[in-house]
Amino acid sequence: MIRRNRKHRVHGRIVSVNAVGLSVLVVFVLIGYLAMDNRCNARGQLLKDLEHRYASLEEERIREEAKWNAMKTPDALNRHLLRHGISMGYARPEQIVRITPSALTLASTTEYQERERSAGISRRAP
Amino acid sequence: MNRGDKLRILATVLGLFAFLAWITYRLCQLHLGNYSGKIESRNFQQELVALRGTIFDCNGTQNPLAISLPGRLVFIDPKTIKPEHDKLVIAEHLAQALNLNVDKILNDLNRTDSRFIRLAVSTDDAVFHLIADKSTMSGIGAQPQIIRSYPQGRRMAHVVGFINADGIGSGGIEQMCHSNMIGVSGLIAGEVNAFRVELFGRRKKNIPPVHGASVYLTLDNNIQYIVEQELRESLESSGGDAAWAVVQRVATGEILAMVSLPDFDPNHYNQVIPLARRNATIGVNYEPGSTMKSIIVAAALNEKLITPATIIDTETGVWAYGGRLLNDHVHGLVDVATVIKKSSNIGAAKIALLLGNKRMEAYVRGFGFGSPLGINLPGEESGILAPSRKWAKITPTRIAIGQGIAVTAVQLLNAYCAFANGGYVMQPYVVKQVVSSSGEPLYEGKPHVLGRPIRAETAATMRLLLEGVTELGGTARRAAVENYTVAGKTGTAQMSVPGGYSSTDYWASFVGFCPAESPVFGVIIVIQRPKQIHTGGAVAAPAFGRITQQIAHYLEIPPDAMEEP
Repeated sequence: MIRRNRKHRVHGRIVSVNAVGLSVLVVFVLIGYLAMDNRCNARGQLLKDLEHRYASLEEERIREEAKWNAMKTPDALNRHLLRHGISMGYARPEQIVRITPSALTLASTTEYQERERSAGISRRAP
Repeated sequence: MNRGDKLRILATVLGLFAFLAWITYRLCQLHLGNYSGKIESRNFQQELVALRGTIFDCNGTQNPLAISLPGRLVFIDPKTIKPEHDKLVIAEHLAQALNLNVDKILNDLNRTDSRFIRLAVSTDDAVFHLIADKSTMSGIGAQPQIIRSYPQGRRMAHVVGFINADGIGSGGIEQMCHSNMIGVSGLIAGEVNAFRVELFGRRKKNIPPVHGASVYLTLDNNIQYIVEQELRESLESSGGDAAWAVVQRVATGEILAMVSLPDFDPNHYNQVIPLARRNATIGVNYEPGSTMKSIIVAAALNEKLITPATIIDTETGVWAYGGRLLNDHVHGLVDVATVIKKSSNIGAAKIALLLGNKRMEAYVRGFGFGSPLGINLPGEESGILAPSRKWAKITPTRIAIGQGIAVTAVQLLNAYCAFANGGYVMQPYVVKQVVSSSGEPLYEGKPHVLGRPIRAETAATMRLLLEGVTELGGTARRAAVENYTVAGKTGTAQMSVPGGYSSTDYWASFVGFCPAESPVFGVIIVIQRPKQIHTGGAVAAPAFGRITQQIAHYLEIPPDAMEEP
């Protein structure tokens, strides 16, 4: 008499291992793709924010430069001078020392050294 | 497991596979598909505004005269004011930051008829931070706006010009160089997500803006300041209606300063009368008076018809010619040097007759009168000079004393600079360089010779004669400058009225250069309708002296007339 198989074991497979493996692979690829897509979007948003920040800083720089230049105008400088009681004018011609090339040349000649000697100026050799 | 179980499991698995496949397909379709033509709402375009180029003086980026500033248009949206925020506090903060009336802002905050109420345009970062503070401020917005700012105000207003409400250059360099200065806008084109945030990875176009080119002028901000200050003082003390002055570098024709009073602030160009926007240095034709005598004498010297020692009979102070009388304050026999020094009308008239009409016209035109000089500014007048074939008998005698001819200040100064420059008439110019935003030079202003009406020897002789005008006995003693030699000529011309000339209204002028021996720069001063004292020697010459003194120091020109200790 044949006994019935009471353990109800299933012999054989419903879906092949390869098919399951392929499915799992596809799922992982999809998850990986979505993850990278999110990361790209996040990077893109960061780039956009940096772009916006750069533009704002550039605008701020232009405005600051304009403010600084406005402080340096002749009118502004004169106002500040007057406020501090400073009166400035050009030096008189006799107060100006002009160095001409001929004067520089003279300094290197012996004539100049003679002048120094006669004036009692002694210089140590370097 | 029986066959039914197997089938159910298989169906479930296949169903899951199909669902998974469909999800995969849909994801691929959405991520990789091109929907720009089908979903308009996801398309995104943003224009990147190009900044208009900057205008600088000759000292480079130290002194911007016109600059585009990124600012904000501050506006109110009353519907977005949060209930917990006090409107009075908001109004007070805004009024202080924007320098506006508190009550007006409070009224605007209570309005219900609009969601966009303009308040003011600002470039102050403090204002932007205030608006961004959401803890105490709501109902306020700020829209980006480019503002054209003229940080020096009235300085060089007529040369710089301004832009109108449509952003078009109107007047001055803003008009002349408008096409170089406007720049080209950029563009960003791409897609946005459902939250209207741009998908950076989907950006299709990223074209950066090309900012406008910058213009560097030949004018010096500091010299301009000196001239403006002194001219304002002269105008006020003389009670004149208007005054203008030009400073030019003799050797090259570069304009170092150009002042026209009354002036205006380009930041508020629409709040002044049109007369104030007129650049009188190039836009007003006026009769030059005695300053014209030097041109006629130079012509006669060049033709060797006279020498500085040639004696001219100036009669008894009255001379009848062509049925008309010509008056003079100089009497008797005088040499040509004295004709210039004491500004003899009869002397100059007789010298003009020696030239003859055609030759005289040729010389006058050769010095640049009667046609535009081509200075790169809008509104240049050509002056008025009738062709010699239409002259009456007395016309040459009148042109010699600066009547019957009209010139602009720049023309007259340019002609006198020819005396200082070996006889060469240079083309005046105000633009030194135009440079693109990438640093590429687009235009370089270079000295250009318009002509050479007189020889170098004649020019040297004229310098000597004109130096005598500022010496003892000359008409412009007050133009003398301490420690420097100067040369020049006064002009006192009656203003023309219907039927003749006014006996009360005059043009007072002085034109000259410094130093007389080796000139570096020339200056002209013109004052319209000075009250009471009206002669060029009393009104314009002192201003010339003060201006020249300061410019000579500023340019570090070595003094050539130092007094011995």
